[in-house]
Amino acid sequence: MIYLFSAYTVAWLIIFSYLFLLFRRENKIREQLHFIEHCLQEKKNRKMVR
Amino acid sequence: MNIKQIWMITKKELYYEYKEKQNVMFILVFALLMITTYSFSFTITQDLLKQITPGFIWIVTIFTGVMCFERSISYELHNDCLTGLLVAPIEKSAIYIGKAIANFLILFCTNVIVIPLLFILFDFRYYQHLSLFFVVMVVGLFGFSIVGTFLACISNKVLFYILLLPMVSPLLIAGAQSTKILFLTENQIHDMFSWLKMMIAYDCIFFTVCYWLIDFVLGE
Amino acid sequence: MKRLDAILLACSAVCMFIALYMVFIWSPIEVKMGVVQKIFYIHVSSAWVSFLAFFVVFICSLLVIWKSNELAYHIAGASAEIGVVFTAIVLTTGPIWARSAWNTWWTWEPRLTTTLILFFMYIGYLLLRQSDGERNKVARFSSAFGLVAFINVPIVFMAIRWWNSRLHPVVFGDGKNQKGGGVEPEMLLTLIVCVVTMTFLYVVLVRKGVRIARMKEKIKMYMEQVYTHFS
Repeated sequence: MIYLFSAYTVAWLIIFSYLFLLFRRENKIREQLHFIEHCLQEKKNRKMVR
Repeated sequence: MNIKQIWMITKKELYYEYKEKQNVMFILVFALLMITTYSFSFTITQDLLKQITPGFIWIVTIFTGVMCFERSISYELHNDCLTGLLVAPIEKSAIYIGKAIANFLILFCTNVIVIPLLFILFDFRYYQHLSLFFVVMVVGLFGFSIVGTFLACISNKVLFYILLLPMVSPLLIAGAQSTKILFLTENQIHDMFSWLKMMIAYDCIFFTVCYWLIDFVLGE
Repeated sequence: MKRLDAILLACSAVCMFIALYMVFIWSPIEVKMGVVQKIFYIHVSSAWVSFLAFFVVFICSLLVIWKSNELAYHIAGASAEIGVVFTAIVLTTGPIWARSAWNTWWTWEPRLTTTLILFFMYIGYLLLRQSDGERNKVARFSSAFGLVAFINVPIVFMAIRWWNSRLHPVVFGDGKNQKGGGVEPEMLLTLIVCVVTMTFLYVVLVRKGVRIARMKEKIKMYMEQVYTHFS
């Protein structure tokens, strides 16, 4: 029984930590992307005003 | 495949080795140091010796080979020699095969020195089937040089070790097993031939694949 | 695009619950090994996913070599990563089962050893992808390695099989899935559901991985723009 329990625990732990990592990575990169896009947009706007 | 170009590259490599004698010296000293360290770390009895010598020959070969392959590409990076080679009017596959053959020859020469020394240092007596052992060694080293040179082309220094060892593991198993059969259990010589066949198959498969891929890998 | 992702995620979640129910409650308990046999479901289905993932890496590497396809390169990266994760699951659940079934953590049995070497090779592949250098160059190198590594797998398997069968006779029937007297239909169904679940999960993860890779690419592009703007 303990073997069964530990096997499934390990498997789920690996899957969920991978999922977690993936989501975190995605959010981080998305943030970065938005930031850069925002900066570029602002720059363009400023140019247009001038 | 252009034999003349391949030979040119091989000659260039060998000439370089001849000029820079320290490289071969490095490999030789490294192999001898490995043998010494090895005998320090185990208490070697004659019985144990017989069991592990076949595998040990291949371990020494692999580690010396790693040094050899890695260097054969990395020294081309000085002064952008690799770029020079790539723009030279020769086939890209000729560069690769030439280098692989040169590596094979260098490894073979070092092994010719190291293995008898190993036998002497360990007092390992072996006289039968020397020619078969020779064939096994040649086939194994050839496959090893092909894969090793290819992987040295596609990876950097540190990564090379990680990529190479799993890739050559079938060759290592087959080589060690056939050597073991030759040294220890001569009555199973029939099995040795199936291992040898497997090594030849490995050589053929990877020679074809690497030859086919190298244009893509080195080409712009 | 977003909607398809949501649907896939929902599908895999639902399947996951069904699979869990089937594994722990519905499927019969195996006579000889008892409950431990239930490890088999997750073990085999993650093994399936990892082999599928590595096969996808192989196909995508071929596509990169042949057509220098951008998308295939991203898919190969995401797929290899997932393959390594699921191989890690296989390599942890396997010994746990082996401990209870054969009373040893590890044997140098062909399948186990091949999986281990597979694991090392694809970690190498991922490291190769991350190595610094010109982007095109890295793509070419890693695709070449993806191809060569996949070709190596059957050879490794054959070599280890010969190596081991010479040393000791096959003890565990004709494989580690031998469960004593055939597979019950319920067990087979449960296994199929598990495999389907894992495959769904794989698709979701690959899509996510590809999306991340593309965003990274975009960021790099913007960075280059900014860089050229200032210099």
